Amino acid sequence: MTKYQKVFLIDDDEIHNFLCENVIRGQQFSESVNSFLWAEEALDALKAIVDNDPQSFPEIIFLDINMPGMDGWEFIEEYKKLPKELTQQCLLFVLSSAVDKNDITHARNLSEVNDFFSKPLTSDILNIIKEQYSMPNPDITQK
Amino acid sequence: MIESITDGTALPREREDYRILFENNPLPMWVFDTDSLQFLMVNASAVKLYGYSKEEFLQMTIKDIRPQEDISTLLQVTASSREPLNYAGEWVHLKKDGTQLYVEVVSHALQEDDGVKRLVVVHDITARKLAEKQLAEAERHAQTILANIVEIIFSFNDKMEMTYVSPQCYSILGYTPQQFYEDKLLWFNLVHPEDRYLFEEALPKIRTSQEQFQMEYRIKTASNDEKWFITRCTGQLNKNGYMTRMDGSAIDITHRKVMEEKLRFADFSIERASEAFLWSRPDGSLVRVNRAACVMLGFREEELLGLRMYEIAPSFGQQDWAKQWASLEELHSLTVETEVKDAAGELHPVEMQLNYFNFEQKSYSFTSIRQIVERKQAEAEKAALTEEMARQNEHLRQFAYIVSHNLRAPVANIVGLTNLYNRKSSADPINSVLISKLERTSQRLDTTIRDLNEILSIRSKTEQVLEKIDLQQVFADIKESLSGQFIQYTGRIHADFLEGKEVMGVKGYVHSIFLNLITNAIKYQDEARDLEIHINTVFSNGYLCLQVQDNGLGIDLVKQGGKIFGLYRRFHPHIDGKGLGLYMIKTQAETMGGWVDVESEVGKGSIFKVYFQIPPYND
Repeated sequence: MTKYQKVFLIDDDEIHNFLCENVIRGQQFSESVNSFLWAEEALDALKAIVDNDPQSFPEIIFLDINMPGMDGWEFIEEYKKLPKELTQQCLLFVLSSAVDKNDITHARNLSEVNDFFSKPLTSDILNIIKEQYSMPNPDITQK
Repeated sequence: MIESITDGTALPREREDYRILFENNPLPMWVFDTDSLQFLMVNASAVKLYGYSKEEFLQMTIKDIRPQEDISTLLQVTASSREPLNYAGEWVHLKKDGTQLYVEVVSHALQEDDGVKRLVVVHDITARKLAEKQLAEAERHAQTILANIVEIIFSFNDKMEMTYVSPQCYSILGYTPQQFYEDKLLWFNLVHPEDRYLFEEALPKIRTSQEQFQMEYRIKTASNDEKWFITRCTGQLNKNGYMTRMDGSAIDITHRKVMEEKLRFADFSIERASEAFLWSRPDGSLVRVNRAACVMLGFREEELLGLRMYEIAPSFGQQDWAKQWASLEELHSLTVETEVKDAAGELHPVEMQLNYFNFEQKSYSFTSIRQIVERKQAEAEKAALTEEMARQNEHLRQFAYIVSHNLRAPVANIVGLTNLYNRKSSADPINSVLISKLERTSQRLDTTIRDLNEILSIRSKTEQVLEKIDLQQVFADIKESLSGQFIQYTGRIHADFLEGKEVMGVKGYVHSIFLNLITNAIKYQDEARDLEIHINTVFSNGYLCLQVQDNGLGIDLVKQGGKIFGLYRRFHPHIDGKGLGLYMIKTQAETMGGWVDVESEVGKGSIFKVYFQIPPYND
């Protein structure tokens, strides 16, 4: 079974990050998971990757909306400014505790956002992602 | 024999005496023939009175000294049989020059053989007649005057019986003078019973003085209407000082009284109106003000009358008054919302209506002023209500936000953590980790729910009774409670309340605010330096401001400024904050009639300022 190389978690909720890491690891969903409590830190990390090692750009980002400092929406605004060839290859999912309709609609209207999921992250969500979004084919990448 | 008398010849001594008696009689006399009416003898007095000579007389008949119109009457009289001594009465005779003579005529028959002759004695009453005629004329004149004056003229005798009343009494009272003469007390009986005392009081004075007395009273007419009279009367006293007569007049003043009544009614209403009224001239000076105007503006009437419209309502402006008047003159009515300045110099919002009018070739403005403080208050209340509603809506929005994010976040974690639990192998080391995380999450959930409850209960109490609170005392209590968990920091808190320590508040809220500010400062301290907290108070525009300054992490106000006191805002992720503290502080401060403010700089620290109402001075 194929799996992703790199997943970014951006959420100020430590417990949820812990939870996500465990689910992802348990499902063998990704080789590595990077958690960020501040959106600013995550953005800095992405910029560093763009500059130094574009190959290691994450394939999946789970983004919380309600965060201190830079919130999810502000992060997306900054994310848009990153090189398109990299961001287009990356799946951005909003992962929020919100059941607020406005938040969901807003998230779905942004072209950068691939989907909106309600917390907690479960194996079911990971399965949906695997099925609906084309998994990178290791054979092709090897060629 | 007559012949011989006229001849005056050969008269015996006796006859001569009679002749002299006839000739020299001071009364004009003549003898005439009753058939021919010829003068047969005339004496010197007659000649003198009538102007004819004796010779001329003797050629005339008695018809010749009569006016033409009297002749037929004369002929009837001479043809009739008369007593020898006949008082013929008053006649009009003509002198030779044509002037009329009023005479009283007496004749006596003189029986002679050749027919009846009559001796006539004439008494000239012209002077008396003229006097009578003049008197009658004067009386008629007086009557005309009396008839044409509007007053009733009257006279009472010393017994207070009516002896004269002018005919106006009929047109005014419906009684004829005759009725008054017959019933001497009618006049007094017609006077309204309630007004009779006026007469009773005045009469003794009238009887003993010659002053004029004046009374206004009601009187009943023949048709039972009530009229108002004004009577002026004076007693006529004799030399002993007793009244012999009382003369006076009575004027019908019913119309005036009705008008007066109407005026008084209007005046009464104006003075008692709750609206203030001002009458002004074109130059803005005041002609009249009513009581409500004095009360509203706090001036005495004389003071107010010394002011100008533009001094009362400064917004008119002295410079612009002429312009204001011109537009009033054009529009006739103006309604303005402005302010009036009272005696103490305070301004009151009012609605003023100016009405332009002309009275006896002069223009005026009639201005009514109505206070609209209440309306303004109602408007302000409405605005406050709208604001309150907007705030409530914001709370609802925030509440929905908490429920959707902050309340659901721990629930989502609990669900997620429970999913990870290894039920097959309870020895799995992850299970104990999950349990401890579940514990933390449940605690967080519990705290959030309790905080929500707290906020809702503060919000639901709209009217909190404020009491005097000693900040220094509250601070002492807090230090006590901090000594458990935060014992190491108590020495780092420096407080002084030299500027003031008493505020109006709710003790629980003040305590909570104070504690929250201090624990925030402890939680968000900068590890790079030792925490220092400085607490002091400062007066600011009638409020006491509590300032809590720290040297902690600080907040980027440019980024966070707008949302810093919002519900569930956190500024630091790794610390166990719920973002509720500042929102609580704000809610509590506002409930106590104050507000909160913050100054902060990242890396330097923050100053939180809470403004409290201060207790009144008197105690």
